[in-house]
Amino acid sequence: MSPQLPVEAWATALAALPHFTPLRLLAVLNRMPPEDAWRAAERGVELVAGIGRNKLPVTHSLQEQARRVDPERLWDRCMQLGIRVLLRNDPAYPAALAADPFGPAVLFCLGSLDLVSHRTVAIVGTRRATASGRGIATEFGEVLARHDVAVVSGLALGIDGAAHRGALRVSPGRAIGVVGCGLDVVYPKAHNDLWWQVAERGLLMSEVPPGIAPLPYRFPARNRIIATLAEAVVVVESRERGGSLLTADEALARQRLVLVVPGSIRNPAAVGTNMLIAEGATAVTSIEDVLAMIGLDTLALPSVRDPRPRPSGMGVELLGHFDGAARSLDELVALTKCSLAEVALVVGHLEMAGWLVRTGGLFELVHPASVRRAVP
Amino acid sequence: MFAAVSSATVLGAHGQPVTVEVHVSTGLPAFAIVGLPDEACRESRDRVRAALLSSSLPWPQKRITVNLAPSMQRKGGSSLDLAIALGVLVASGELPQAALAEFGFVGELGLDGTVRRLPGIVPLVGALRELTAVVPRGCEAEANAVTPAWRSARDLAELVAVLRKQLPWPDPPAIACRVPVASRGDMSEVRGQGLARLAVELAAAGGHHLLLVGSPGCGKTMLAERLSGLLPDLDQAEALVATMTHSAAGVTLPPSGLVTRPPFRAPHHTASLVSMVGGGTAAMRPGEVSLASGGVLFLDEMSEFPVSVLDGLRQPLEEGVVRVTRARASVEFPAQFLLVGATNPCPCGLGAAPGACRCEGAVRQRFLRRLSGPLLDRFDLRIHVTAVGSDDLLSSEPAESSASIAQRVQAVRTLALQRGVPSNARLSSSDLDRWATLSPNALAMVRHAIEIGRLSGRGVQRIRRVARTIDDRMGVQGALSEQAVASALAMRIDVAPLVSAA
Repeated sequence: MSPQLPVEAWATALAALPHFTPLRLLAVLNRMPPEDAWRAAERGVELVAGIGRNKLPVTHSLQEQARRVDPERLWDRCMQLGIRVLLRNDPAYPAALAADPFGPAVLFCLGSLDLVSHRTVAIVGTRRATASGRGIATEFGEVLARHDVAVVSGLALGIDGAAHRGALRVSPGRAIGVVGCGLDVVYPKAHNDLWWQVAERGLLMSEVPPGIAPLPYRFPARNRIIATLAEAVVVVESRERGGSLLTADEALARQRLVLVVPGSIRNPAAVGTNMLIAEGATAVTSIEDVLAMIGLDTLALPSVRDPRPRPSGMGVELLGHFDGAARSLDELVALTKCSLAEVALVVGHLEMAGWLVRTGGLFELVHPASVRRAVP
Repeated sequence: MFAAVSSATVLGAHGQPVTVEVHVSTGLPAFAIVGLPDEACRESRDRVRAALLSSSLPWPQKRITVNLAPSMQRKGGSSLDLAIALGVLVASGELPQAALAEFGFVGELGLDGTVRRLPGIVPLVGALRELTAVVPRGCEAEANAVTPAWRSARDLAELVAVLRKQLPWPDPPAIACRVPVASRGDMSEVRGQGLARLAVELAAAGGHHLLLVGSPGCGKTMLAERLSGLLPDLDQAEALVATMTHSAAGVTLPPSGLVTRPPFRAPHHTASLVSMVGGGTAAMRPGEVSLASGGVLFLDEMSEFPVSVLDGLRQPLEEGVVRVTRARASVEFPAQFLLVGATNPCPCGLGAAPGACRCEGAVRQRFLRRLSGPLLDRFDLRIHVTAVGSDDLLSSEPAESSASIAQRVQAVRTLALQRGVPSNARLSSSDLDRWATLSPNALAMVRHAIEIGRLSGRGVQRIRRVARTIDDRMGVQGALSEQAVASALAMRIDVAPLVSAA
């Protein structure tokens, strides 16, 4: 009845049970071999009494949960997808995570594992980012990748995705995506292309087996891995109570460098980041600052020329009115004292030339990094 | 004994002539109505009998058969009551047939013999053609809108006396002449809002459908209400169509009886599909799109309307008429309306400014999905309305008045008429090639918009129509100027979820 499966297969099966939170799984696997733990779970034996608070949306008993998981099929699925399953004692298990007492007990990886031996910097931030925030993340991601630094992020919408897109502009890809769901469960759906690009040209990792849905409680746990894996965490934009603030906390608890991009006090997407600065985090105002903080000089940076045609006359004046905030046509008319038609024309030209981007009825400055289309 | 009386019923927004034939013969006393009467029509049997008796007129204790010719068509409503009563009187020898020859009668009877008013007088009188219409008292203005040949009757007894030539026709109450209809506010009350003011003016001048996106309280409704005030008066034909539709729907008509100002309809977002496009089981009633014909249909909180209702608007928007087909009948209503929609950018209302929204991505997408695609594409003008700054709000200087804007609107409409269309929004592709060619600079701008995926093929046509209106307003002739195209593009925002992927 019991198929001959490797140790990793039993650990995978255990990780698929909602009962075993990362903390509980770690405790149980420290105590006994995975196969024994699985047999016990099948019989419904409580192995982790007292570890971790049970506030999970658990609807079934442990025994029932175990009945729904077929270790053999789950293992086949991992093999079929080409997922590498690492236990903590595996030589390939990332050293940074192994050094952390709360590192994941099982790690599922897709892509080139040697990336973790590179220098690593995490870029995180809000999902609802401004165009300028996304531009900054893309620039940072690209420049870091050029310096052979692997960019760690969560593959979420907004800042995370932008950072990875930047990192993937450089060949070979230098993106490490840490996700909170199974590696075959693409989330968010809008990042389907990015997800598989990271898996192909970078490294995709998760502490949950394939098929596990992106439940909200898994994301803080994912943030912990990001913070552990990176030597520095750059927060680009964060809201007042954003998940990236949790990542920053996790990073501080592990003596990681936390670097924060300051934002306008009027920008609701920068409230959290400005809060971090007020609390004493290091502010970085350019990618050079980031490189200096992690001990890389900026000489290796190939100079990139802004290819956009220089604006002239009224275009310059108009661009001067964008102080980081988004502006409506009415506001621009009031600021320039020109007619609506004139402003519309100049704004149209600036948009065509790539200086401005329109979101709904508002215009924002385009960050130079998002102009360069240097994807090799 | 036999009698025939002319009358009419309403189907949809049109009246159809009906000849009421009454036959009274010996036999067991009975009263039957044949010729496809509906429920309200069949009940007129009891109303007619009671009305005759209360008016001290004799009821023949004989076999009475009423036929409503043409007998294949369905007849609905109570407009035939008066004609049936008179038919019975003629057939029983109480009235000479000749006395009724030059008249057509429409009206409902009360049990006490009064002639009651009913909706649809305009189409009913229209269906009587060259006959002199006898309408209920109080409906004179509506009748007068169609024909000068009309009489009004207060009750059955009086009417019978008049027809017997015992009394002269009573003097009708005076009909109010054209009184200016109180408009819904003036544009001078709108503070600031330069872009929105321009968009409203262009919508009125070019007949372009307008979508206003903005946070709560920024003045979307205020702007929309003032739009109908900028439109020119309806011409004679349009006025008659509008009056017919309003009358058929039982909407109160202006004192003059004729709807001369463009209507403004603002149905609530719980409106059903039938109330919107017309139809119904009992009577084919015109819907809001038809009542708004010639004027403005304003959908406030557009994203709250059911998807089926919004999709139901697409066909009338395209064709200018709405065809409602039911098992019993198929009718066509006018639907030449200017659509103005207003919506918040997201449920919390703050989503227009980047980074300000507090809504979940999925919630926003669900919110905007109702508006997506083909319907959005039909809005030539889509603007973002921002809250008015405090300086503008408190300024005592009045902005330009509706009357002054309306003059420019009229001028632009005149130019459109010279091109053979009622408004620039109706320019066909061949018209566009003739009247709205793109200057080289303007072409470059349009090309860029297509390349970045902002404009579809249909979008290009719409941009050209709006740009034509903008240039017409500024008195620019010939090829479309770059400024006009830039403005038209700026007034066509994407209403996609603003939380986009990186």
